[in-house]
Amino acid sequence: MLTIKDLEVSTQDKKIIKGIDLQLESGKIHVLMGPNGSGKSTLANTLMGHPGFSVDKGDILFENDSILDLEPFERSQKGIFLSFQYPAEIPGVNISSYLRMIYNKKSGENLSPVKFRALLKEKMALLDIDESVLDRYLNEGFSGGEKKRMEVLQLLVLEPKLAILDETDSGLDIDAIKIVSSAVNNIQKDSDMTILLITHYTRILEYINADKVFVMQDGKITKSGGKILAHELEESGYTS
Amino acid sequence: MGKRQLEEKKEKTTKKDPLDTDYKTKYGFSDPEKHVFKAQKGLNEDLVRQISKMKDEPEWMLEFRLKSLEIFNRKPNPTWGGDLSKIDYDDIYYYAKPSEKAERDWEDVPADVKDTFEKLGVPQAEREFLAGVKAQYDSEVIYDSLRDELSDEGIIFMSTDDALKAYPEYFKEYFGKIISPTDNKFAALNSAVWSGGSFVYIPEGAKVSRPLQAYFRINAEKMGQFERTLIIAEKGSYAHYVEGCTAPVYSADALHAAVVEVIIKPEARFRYTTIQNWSGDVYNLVTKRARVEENAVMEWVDGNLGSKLTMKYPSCLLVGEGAHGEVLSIAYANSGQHQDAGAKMVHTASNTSSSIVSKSISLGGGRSSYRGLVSVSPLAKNVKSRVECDALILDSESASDTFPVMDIKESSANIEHEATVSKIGEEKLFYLMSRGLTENEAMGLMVSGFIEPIVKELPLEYAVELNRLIELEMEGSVG
Amino acid sequence: MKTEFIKLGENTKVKVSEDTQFVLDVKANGGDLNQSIDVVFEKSGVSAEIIGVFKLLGGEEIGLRTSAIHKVPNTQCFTHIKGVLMDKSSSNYVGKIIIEKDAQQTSSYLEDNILVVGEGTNNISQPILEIEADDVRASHGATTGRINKDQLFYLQSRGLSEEEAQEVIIEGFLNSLLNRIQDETIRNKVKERLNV
Repeated sequence: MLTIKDLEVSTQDKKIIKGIDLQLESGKIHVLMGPNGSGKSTLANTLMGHPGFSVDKGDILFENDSILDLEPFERSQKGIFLSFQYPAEIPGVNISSYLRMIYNKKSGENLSPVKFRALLKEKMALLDIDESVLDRYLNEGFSGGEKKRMEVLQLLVLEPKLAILDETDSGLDIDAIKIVSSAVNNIQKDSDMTILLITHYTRILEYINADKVFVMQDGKITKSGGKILAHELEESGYTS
Repeated sequence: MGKRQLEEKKEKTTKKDPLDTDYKTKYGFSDPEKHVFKAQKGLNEDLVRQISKMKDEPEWMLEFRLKSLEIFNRKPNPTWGGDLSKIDYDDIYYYAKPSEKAERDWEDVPADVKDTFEKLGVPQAEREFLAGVKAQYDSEVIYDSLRDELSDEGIIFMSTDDALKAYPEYFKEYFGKIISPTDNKFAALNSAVWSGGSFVYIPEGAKVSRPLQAYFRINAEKMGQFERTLIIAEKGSYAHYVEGCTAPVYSADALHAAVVEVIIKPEARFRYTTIQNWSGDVYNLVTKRARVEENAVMEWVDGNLGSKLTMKYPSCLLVGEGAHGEVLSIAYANSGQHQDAGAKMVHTASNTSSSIVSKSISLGGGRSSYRGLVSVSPLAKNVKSRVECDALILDSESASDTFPVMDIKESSANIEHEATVSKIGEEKLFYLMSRGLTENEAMGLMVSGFIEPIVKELPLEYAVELNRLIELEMEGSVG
Repeated sequence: MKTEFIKLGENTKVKVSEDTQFVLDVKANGGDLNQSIDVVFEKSGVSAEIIGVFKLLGGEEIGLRTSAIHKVPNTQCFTHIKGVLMDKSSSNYVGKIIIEKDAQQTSSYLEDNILVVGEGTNNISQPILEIEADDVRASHGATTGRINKDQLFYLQSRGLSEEEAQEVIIEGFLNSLLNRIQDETIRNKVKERLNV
């Protein structure tokens, strides 16, 4: 459902992605691993349309249509979601109102605050997030872990077709990883969501069932395989 | 002071001193009856003409001086800043040959000044010079050999008086262009009666690794009242100019008004470090400005101690794209002192940036004020500027002010300003004292820590001396 | 803390007699260039907040001055001003904190943030501190800048168009101060004025 062809991406005159081909299959969980600086985050941001990166070559096809000319909000409308590695803090924006706004936009519904609250409570329970969070401002004063959980909450609210999780596990302790993983597993099963999980550590793979694993190094995809590849990497690192 | 070890190399020489300050020989006053220059108070056209004549200046410089005098007379004192009302312009000597400058007896030097010299380990010969007891400092030999080394690399470093004669073309092009006499009353004053100061020229691509110490050059002519410095840093060059010293410098002159003009060409980098510690009732009013061209960097490092009133706002005109200006400033005001210091950053080109860090300390009834300006012109896009000014008030008698202005006429600028005023925290004091330090030692340590970000940018000897000086001041004033 | 809605003249003065939030009725339309308020602390033990929010639409101009004047010991003040500048608007703000010699144990802070959204804007900001007592805490912070690009991208990635994302950020910027207003009626009044 997502095809990346011959992609080259640079930022500020520095080439980061040096030619990759990648296929994501609908309803499957894909894991992208690699050392720091390999270009994983760049790929995630490029898929979402970050203005700071330029596509020098190649194409990105989502459900068979190129999305290169689409603005980030258009890509979101189409069903692409990015859970950021470093989510922005936006002062003064109440979380509850914000979530309702993005939900209503996506679904085309016009849920009242009360109805939305009910919907939200369910999802928050899956992630073990306390209600008091709803009175706070978006990511303001949140710890790294709290921000990551807020990202996954937004994923549950938007129910995208493709969810790109950029190092969602970093900054989370083992309990948080378990919770996040179970929420992701559940929603994936229920809605047949396609997942691209970007991670540096293999730890999360114990809790999420990877169908396919890719390794990225120095701007290129160097290996691809099944779950077994993940274990090999765990044993011997990236350079084998 | 800075090069104490070089003291040992002092020796009498028969070499002709290029900075011969024997005006009698140099300017042809061999016959005292012919030219009688009598030291006189007050400022008038006649005095200005005499000064220019004695220096044997070209006609255009005399015109410049006379026009400046007119401007000085016309302009009123500024209505902001420190209290200038007590200056009686008619009761001041505006020019006196160095050899005629009034000297005083060692016995008359205040005890605390002598004490500071002792504690800082200043050699006796230097002490006498700094305290105004001796007119000359025998460092000419050291200075000469330094100058020869530099000239091999094409670097010019000489007194402004001499440079006017040797390199008139630079003066015609740059003198008075960065700071015009109309800029403020004291720039006009300096422009009328300037004498002494440094001329520095760094040729294209030259990288001067060792700081140029103005201390030695100035010594030969004694600390000047109305020094005029002109610095030209050509494309891609790098140099560091250092002047002043931390030891208290006695001046018989009540009014000092210096002017420093710096031109930094594209991709060049220049740092100008000043530490001034005027002892006595000195009004120290300085106008310092650099014009910074494309991708060039100017750094002003400024330490102000002593004097009755210092008004000094090093500034950068960021006229070329990508230019960067920085001011690191320390002001220390003790009893009866007012430091009104700060910085000005004027952004007229796009993608320029500036940073101002000011740390001030006031104690014993002193007052230290930060006065600054960051301005962005309508066509200067993507300007970034950050100002941080912190003040420490050490007792209930002292005061501190900050008067920053941000004037932003363009919509893409990103400007930040932060200021804090506080005293030394009780808990921190207690913590240090609980580790065995006396209250004075603890406070001294905290004050050092407060100014550390700037002190670490000073040449090592200055940093050490400045810290030691602050410790001494704390010992004297606290409790 | 009680909340008071203060109309601003050229030389408005208020004395702080009890803990009060002074919400300034800042006039943005009509180009009022001389809005000034002195908040004077002559009674010990009280604290105050001074809140001023404005949004200047195309071509509007504003001149605002606030002074927190501490004359006696042991008072607290927090001055917080936020403004949004749309095309060709101009703001001139002077914010003073004056702590006189006898006003020991004063805490006084000033925050002044300008969010520039339009083009061709002008803003002058002068946060001033005049402090004559030592056992005090005083600080000020002033910022001027455009909307943060990362924030824009983040919201767009959640399905908001650029204009919508901008609106959310501007609202958030103003709300983070407006939501400090304790009196609901006053708060809503100000929000309404600002279209927030």
